[in-house]
Amino acid sequence: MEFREQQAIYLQIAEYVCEQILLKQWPLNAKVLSIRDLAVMMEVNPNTVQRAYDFLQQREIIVNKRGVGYFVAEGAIAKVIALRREQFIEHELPVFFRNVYLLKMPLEEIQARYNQFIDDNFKEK
Amino acid sequence: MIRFDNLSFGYSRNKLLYRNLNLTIKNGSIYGLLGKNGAGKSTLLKNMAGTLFPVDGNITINGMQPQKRKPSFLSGIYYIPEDVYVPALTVRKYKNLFAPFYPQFNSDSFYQYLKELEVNVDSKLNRLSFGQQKKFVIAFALACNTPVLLMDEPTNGLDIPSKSQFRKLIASVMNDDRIILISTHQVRDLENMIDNIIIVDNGDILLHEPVGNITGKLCFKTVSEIPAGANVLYQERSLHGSAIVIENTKGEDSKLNLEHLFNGIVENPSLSKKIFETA
Amino acid sequence: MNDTFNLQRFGFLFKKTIMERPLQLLGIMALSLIATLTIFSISVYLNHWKDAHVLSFAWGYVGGGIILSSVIFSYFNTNAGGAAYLTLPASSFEKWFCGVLISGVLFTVVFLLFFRLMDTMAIAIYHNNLDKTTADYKHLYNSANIFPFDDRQVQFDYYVFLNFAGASLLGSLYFNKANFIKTAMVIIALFAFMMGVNWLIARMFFSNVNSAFPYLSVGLQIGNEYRNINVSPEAEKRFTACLKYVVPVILWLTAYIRLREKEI
Repeated sequence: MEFREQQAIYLQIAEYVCEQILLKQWPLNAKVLSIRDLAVMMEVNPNTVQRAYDFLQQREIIVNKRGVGYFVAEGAIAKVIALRREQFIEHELPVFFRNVYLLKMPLEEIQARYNQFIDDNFKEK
Repeated sequence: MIRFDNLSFGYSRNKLLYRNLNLTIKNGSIYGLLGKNGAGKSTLLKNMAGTLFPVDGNITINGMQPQKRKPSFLSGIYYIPEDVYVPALTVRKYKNLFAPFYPQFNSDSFYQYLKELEVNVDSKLNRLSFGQQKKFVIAFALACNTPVLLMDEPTNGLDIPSKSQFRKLIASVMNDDRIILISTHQVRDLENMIDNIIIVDNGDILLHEPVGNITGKLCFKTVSEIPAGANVLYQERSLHGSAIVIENTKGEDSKLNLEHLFNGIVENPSLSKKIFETA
Repeated sequence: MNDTFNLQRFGFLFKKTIMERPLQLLGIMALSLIATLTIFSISVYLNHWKDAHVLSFAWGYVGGGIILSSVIFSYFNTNAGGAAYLTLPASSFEKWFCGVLISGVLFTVVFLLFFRLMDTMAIAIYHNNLDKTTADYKHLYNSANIFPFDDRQVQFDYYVFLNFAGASLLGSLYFNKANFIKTAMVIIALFAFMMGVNWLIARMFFSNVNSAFPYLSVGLQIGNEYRNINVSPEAEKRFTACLKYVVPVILWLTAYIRLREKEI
């Protein structure tokens, strides 16, 4: 995995885990990769993965069963979405708003374009 | 645990390379020892391995003094110098002759590591290329399962896939009891592996901090304009603006850039001291 | 864990030392045996039994021993080789003892066995080929005898071996590169220094010194006559005892201390 410049590594690892959960690669209640295995896969220090797992556990996205390992928590998807939304509002929305303001784009136009985008990409057939 | 108590070292008493060093290295971490060429990284490692003796002060590793070179000490530590030595033996013969000295040696892991690093196991060791020899020694050292592992520029001579395999191996052998100490000036090779950083320059330790503390105190980012009033430790012009290292006053989370950190600390030791001293 | 001596660990070390560089160690042993055989054969061919024994023994044993002890600790040619040797988990005593055992004891045993075997066979062949009917058969038969290992000449060789192999061993721990040549130069320099100082001291006592050998004698020229003044027999005995026992012990033991304190 390629790490981006800006964000702390442990957060990027946490994001990777969230991604796997959203994509259902790692189903609910399933065991997630052990700290060591994920560290080997990503070529990072196991302590960094530990930190990412601690963070996810705090967010109740994964749970630690002592002696067995980490599992995807019940209701993880909702928690992931909540976390993502929070991060989106915090990091990406300000940039977006700044551009909207600088380019003097009317909100109605944004709304129309948004609807078009949903129609094109996510419309139920 | 490795402890330096007032360690002074140099090739003569009048020309000391290090003066009164105090340092504690704890188990369960991968330490990166960074410094310019000639800053004395190798010397420091040799003092820990017991092949050079301090002029003054004391080193203890898990309660033992390296310079006594007792078997009980030596079987618990593996030191890989920058240039490696291999005799004219096959892999199997080497293992049969050298592994018995290390009670925790694991033969299965040894062959596994060799396979992962793609070392040719059939040829005689002295016929292998430098990179292959180096990988062989790394595989052997890891298989010895010593509580302390000292490596001097381990990625020198390794090709790009081998560097990646090396990182995977280090991640897989790390545990809470081990100390892995890697000296390097190729900081990018091991950026995400290291969780404790020691920077040495001019015979002094300029920085010794866990990565978590560093990103707590410092912020690494690329900006179009340097924020007013920020304590700038380092800045470098790039295509997208200025890459900067500044004091982290707003609790921002950023990704450590080891190269920028190193340059900042070495160029600006007094500011870094000020930033890291405030609790 | 016994940190001074452990028999099993010593076994590992001994095996490792021999097998790590079999060509070097066993090769030097083999070469000195071949050299012995060659010198011996040539001398026998020329019908000099005494020379055959004395020369082949001296060159093979002392020469081979010096070369072998100069390589037994030759790990320090490179930094990495030296570091690998010093950090190998065996005690300094075990490492030293292993070196001494191979270059001192093992080499001596192998050499003596080989020499006796070679000697016995050559003499048996010689005796068989003699013509029993000739008049001087008995004389010829008795001219070749097994070389006794307590011969005065052999004893002298033992002492030369102990001194020079010891110096060579110690030298290899002081000089990391080209240790053999450097050690030889130090010995020659030391010897020249002793001769020189001795000469100066002799000149302080006598105005007509012709020659002077350290510790033993002064040669004086009186008119056209030359006379030697020797030290008393007791003093000479003390001097030779020093060369036989004290100096070798100092050399071989200093090698241990040096190995323990070796830095690279």
